[in-house]
Amino acid sequence: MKRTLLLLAIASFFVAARADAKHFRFQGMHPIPESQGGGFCYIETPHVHIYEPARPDVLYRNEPDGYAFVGDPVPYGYDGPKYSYYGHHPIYVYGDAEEYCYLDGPHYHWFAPPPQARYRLKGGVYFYTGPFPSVYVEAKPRYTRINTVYRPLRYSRPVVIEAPPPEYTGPVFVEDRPTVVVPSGPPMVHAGVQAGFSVQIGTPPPPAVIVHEERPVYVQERPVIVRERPVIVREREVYVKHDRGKHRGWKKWEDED
Amino acid sequence: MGRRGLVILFAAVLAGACGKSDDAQAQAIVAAWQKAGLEPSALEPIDGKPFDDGKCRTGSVGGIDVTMCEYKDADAAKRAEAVGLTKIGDATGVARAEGRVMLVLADRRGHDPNGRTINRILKVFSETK
Repeated sequence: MKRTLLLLAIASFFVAARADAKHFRFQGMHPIPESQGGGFCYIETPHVHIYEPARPDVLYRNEPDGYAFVGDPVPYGYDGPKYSYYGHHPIYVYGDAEEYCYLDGPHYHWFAPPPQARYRLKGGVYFYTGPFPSVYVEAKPRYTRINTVYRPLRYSRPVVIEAPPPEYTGPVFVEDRPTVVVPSGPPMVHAGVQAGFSVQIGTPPPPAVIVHEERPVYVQERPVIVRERPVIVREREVYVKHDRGKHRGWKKWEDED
Repeated sequence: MGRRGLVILFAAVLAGACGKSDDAQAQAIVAAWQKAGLEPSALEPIDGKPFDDGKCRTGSVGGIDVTMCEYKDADAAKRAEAVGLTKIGDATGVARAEGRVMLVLADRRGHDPNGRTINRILKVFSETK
């Protein structure tokens, strides 16, 4: 009898554990994993699903009410109100938690910064102009990996037509394809081709143009002054590096990391 | 009727009014869902003991299973959220308290894959107090 009771107790423990484990808590809106049909979940309050989030290591923060999505919702099909941001910035939408967005360059969120926060709205884009505390710096190596998730996604990012304001101290987005390296003496050389090409200025001569991709580069004769801060002058189209229909899913990101 | 009788009468009227107020709140929420085009069914009374001794009703709104429970105060309703979550089962769902009312939503038939209906039900619920 004692043994039966013990077995029953063990069995009930596992049943209870399963009951607890079958729900995953989310704090607000979030992408739906491809394995669950994809798309976007529009529930704005804490809720539960029977599936785990995709890439919780970088796309979410673990808050008391569950997984809190911190990425750009647009590439996942979100079609609600959205606000344009540029570069890294604090996130205030999940209560008092001190969280930061580490997305490089122009991106969207569904929330605007609160009025008292230190942002500058320029050309319809929010630039964070406040300081970055140590908590941001410490978490940066981990969370900047979010950009490896977004880089291959093809979607219309915010159009940024003005340079960041002087108060902006975050990283400046540089278009990364194709890469053109122009070693030069004076900081005034440019191998401009199409708007959005990346240009890196080396220090000494000789004057040479090194193209790091096989795609042809058409060099215009018109010299362009290179500023300290490259300016994005048009909407960025990012092209997906296809896996020729193999669709390895999330595993490939894990492999890359 | 003496002074004592008046006090008893007043208490009885007050108690009756409070009871009506509970019903009125639930009815107001259902009416608001109806007005929002969410097609609520009739909410039938159920045993509220499994929901932390609430006064509960159940039905559906916009294809989502709904259980609405009333408690003696807002704290009790908030505490009942944890129990409410355990009643969702293998589905997407929410347990949310507003004032003395706690609402449990469960999409057991997969009517709402992107959560828009659940979100609308919750918004109307929050706005109707």
